[in-house]
Amino acid sequence: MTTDDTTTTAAPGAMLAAHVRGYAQAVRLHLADLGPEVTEDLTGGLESDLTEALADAAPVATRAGEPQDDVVLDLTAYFGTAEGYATELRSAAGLPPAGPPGRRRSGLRDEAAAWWSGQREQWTGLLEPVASTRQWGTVRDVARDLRPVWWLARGWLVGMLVIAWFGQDYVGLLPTSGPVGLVPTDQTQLVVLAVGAFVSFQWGRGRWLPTGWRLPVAVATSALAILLLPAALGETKTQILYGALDNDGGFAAGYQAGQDDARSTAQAVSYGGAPGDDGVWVDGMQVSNLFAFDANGDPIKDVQLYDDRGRPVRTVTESRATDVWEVPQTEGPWYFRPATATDGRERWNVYPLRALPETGVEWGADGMAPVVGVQPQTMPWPFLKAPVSIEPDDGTAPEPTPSQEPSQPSDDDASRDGEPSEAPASGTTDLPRPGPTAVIDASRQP
Amino acid sequence: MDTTQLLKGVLDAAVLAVVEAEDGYGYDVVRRLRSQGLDDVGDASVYGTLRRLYADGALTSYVVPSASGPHRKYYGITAHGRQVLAIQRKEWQEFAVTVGGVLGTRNEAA
Repeated sequence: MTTDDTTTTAAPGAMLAAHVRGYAQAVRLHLADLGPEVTEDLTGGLESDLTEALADAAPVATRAGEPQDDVVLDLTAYFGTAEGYATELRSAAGLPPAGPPGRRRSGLRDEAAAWWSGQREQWTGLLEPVASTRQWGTVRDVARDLRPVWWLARGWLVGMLVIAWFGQDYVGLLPTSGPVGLVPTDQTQLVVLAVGAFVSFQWGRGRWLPTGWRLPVAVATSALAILLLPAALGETKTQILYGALDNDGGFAAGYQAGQDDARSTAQAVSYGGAPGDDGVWVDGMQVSNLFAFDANGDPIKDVQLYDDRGRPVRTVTESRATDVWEVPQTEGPWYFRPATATDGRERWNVYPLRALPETGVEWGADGMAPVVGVQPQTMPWPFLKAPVSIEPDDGTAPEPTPSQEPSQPSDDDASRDGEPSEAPASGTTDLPRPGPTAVIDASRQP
Repeated sequence: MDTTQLLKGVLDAAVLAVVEAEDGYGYDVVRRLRSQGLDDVGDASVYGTLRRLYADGALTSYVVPSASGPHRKYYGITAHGRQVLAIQRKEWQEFAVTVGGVLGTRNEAA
C-alpha cells in the first residue's frame, strides 16, 4: 500500500481530496437521470475507491518520471472523462444509456419535452382514424402548399401590432379597441405591413435566421398572429360596416373622422363634412352664416372677416357654394350668395351672407343662376341686439353705430377701390397685408 | 486482440469468483482482478457489475466501519450467487473447449 505516500504532506492530500470529490460529483451529474437512489448505489464510496486507485497508480507515474502533483491532480488521465466513466458504470450495471450526447436537458426542459411528446402521442392516437384517410392526406398537402400564404399573413398581422403599438396615441397589447384593421390607412402603414409580410415569408423559407432560431421564431410569430387575428377581423368588420372603405373621402378620411368622433366628447352634428374640412365650425357643428354685433350689441351688416393670417373667413366654401342649406327660423333650403366687390369679384367673407330660396334659382348650362327678378334675402338675425355690451378700452361710452355703416374704418376706403384699410375701427395700426377690395352691398348686385 | 471485448462476457463470473474467494469492497475487487492478470478491467465496469449482481441477488453487501477514512461497502456472495457462478463456470469451460477446438492448438507466437 502506498497511501502513506500521498498523505505525508497535507496540502497535496487536501488538493487531491478536492479533485476526487469534484470528479465523483461530475460522474454523479452524468447519472442524474437515474434518480438519487440508483446513483447512490452506483457511486456510493466512489471517492474512497478513486483515492485508493490513485494511490496505487501514483508510484507508477512517478517512476515514469512525471511530476507527481500534476499526475495526481489530472484525474481524467487515469479514469478518462467523467462522462465516459459514468457511461461505463451504467452499461456494466445493465442500465439504459443516457440521452444522445450534447442534448442533455435541464430538469424543467426535460419535463416540458416529456409533456409535449406525451400530448403529441395522445392527439396522434385520437386523430388516427381521421389521419389515416386519403382525404386527410389531401388536406395536409393543401395545407402544406398554403404555408407561404400563412407566412405572408402572419407578417401582415404582426405588422399591424407594430403599427398599433408605435403609431397611435395609446399603447396596448390588446388592440380590440384600437384602429388595427387588415387594411392599411396610409402609405407608412402599407410599408410596415409589406415589410412584415416579407420578413415573415423569408423566415418561413428558412432565410435570415440562424438555424437554431427557426422553430422558436416560427412558433412565436404564428402564435402572436393567431392571437391578433380575431381583433383584426373585428376591427375590419367595424370599418366595413361604417362604410369607411368605400365612401368618397376614401378610407383615410373615414378613418380620421372615426378617430375624431371617438376623441371628441360632444358628438359632431355635421351637414356632410367633418371637423377639419373647409368652412367654419363651432363646437363640432358647421357654421352656415355669421352675424356681427358692435360693442353696444347692435347688429352690423356687411362685415368683412379675415383670420389672423389674412385669409378670408368663408363659411360657404367653393365646393359647397351650390349646396342647399337649412337655416334656423326659416322655411325651406337656401342657396347662400356672396357679396360682390367693387371690382366685380365675389366676396364670400362678407357677413351676414344673403341667400336665395330654392325656388329662386335655375340651373343652366353654366350652373346655378338666380331667377330674373329674385334678389338674395337677408337671413334672420339670431338676436335683434347682442346679449352683452362691451366696455371700450378708453372707458367712454360706446357710440351707437348705424347699421347702414357698420364698422366703417376711419378712412374712406370704400372709394379707394382696392386700397387697404389703414386701420380698423378698433385703432389697431399694423395690418399684416393689404386689405382686399371694398364691398358693394350684396343686396345691390344685379 | 482487444481483450476488453472478451472480458465483457466473463466479467460477471470473474467478479463472482473473486468475491466468492473473499468478501471485498469496490476497489479491492478491481485490484484483485488486476493482480490475477485482468489488467484491462475498468474500475467503473467492476463497480457497475457489482451493483448489478447485487440488484440481481447474487451478492449481498454490508458496511464495514473504517478507523481511517470513510466506511467501506463490502460485497459477499449469496447462495444464489454461487449457483449463478457454478453455471457460468460450466458454460465458460464448455465454451473455452469449443472455441479452442475451432481455433486449433497451433501457437502463433512460436
